[in-house]
Amino acid sequence: MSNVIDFLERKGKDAQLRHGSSDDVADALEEAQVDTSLRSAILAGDASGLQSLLKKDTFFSSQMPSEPEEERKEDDEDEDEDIPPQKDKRPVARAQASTTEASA
Amino acid sequence: VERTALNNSPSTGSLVCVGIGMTLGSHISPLARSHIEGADVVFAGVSDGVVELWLAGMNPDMRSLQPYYQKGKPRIETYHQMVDALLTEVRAGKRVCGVFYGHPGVFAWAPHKAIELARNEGYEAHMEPGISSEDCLYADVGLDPGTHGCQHFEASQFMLFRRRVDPSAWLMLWQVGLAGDRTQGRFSTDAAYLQVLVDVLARDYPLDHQVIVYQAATLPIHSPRIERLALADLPRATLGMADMVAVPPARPMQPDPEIQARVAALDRTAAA
Repeated sequence: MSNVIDFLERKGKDAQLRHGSSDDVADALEEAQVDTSLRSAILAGDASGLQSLLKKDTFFSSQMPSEPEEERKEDDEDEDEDIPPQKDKRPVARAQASTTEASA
Repeated sequence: VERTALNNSPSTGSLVCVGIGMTLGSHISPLARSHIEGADVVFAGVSDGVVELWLAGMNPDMRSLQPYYQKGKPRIETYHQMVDALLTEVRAGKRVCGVFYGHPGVFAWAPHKAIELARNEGYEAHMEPGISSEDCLYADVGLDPGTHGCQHFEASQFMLFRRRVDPSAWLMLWQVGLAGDRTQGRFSTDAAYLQVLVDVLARDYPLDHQVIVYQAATLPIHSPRIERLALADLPRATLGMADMVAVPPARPMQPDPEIQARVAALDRTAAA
């Protein structure tokens, strides 16, 4: 698998490969000894196919709440003790559990 | 002082949040890469699993932030847990690198919050910028935000709060694939919610106004999504979390004669 990631990095940063012909890309894939199925997905420009082959097809990308923190604090003040609005109210146990989850 | 009091020993913990841009291999800066490779622990908040595999090759202790996301769970709780995860390792004295796709400070809550809290506790913490989706859009669509001006809003916030729109400038709506989510626990939208968004936009734009659905390329094997359609057709579009909607200006800029006269008077005074 590492050779396909190495190839993608190379394709991302090499202007000739990034914008080269499909023949150039096919030659580079062969040289990098990328598996046939992965090679086909790359040549087809099939990002979801490649993600699927690498078992990485469901990813969340949202990083932003819809409401600024000040508005949320007012809404949550009386109803949600679980979401710490300030650091001094953060439950330590939850912070430790979170790290374990992230490490898994 | 606060740090010493909390840990009862001097700590070397630090935090840097870096952006790696949108496209694997193309946008990462040498400085961001150096932070990733030199960190004791790396937390990855990226939008593409293949990008995460790439990061795993840069540091043996790369931890994904993906497990924090869950359908039905308020996103703000997910973001707080991401901050907790980063801060726990900082407090343990580690050099922590939070890696985020695009720019870590653009439409990204956790990196700002983590840096704020780390600094409040006396730790070194800073951010390194990255190439955001917006930057890619300017290049791919061929527009300059300086020409007519440009407003940016999170799509649900734009719908749920009355914002003052300038239809003579560009309008960018982010997270449009979550449009109308009040629960903060959804990761999709549908035609009914998008119709509400269209109705809000229709206060300032004609329904036949052409808008652009945009998504930057995350892998260097495909092109960005650039789809032009009439505003009225937006509810029928398939929109995901990573899609933006760019609304071009719909009318010319309106001159302000009073201000122009005042500036002209100043010019005359300066020339006299």
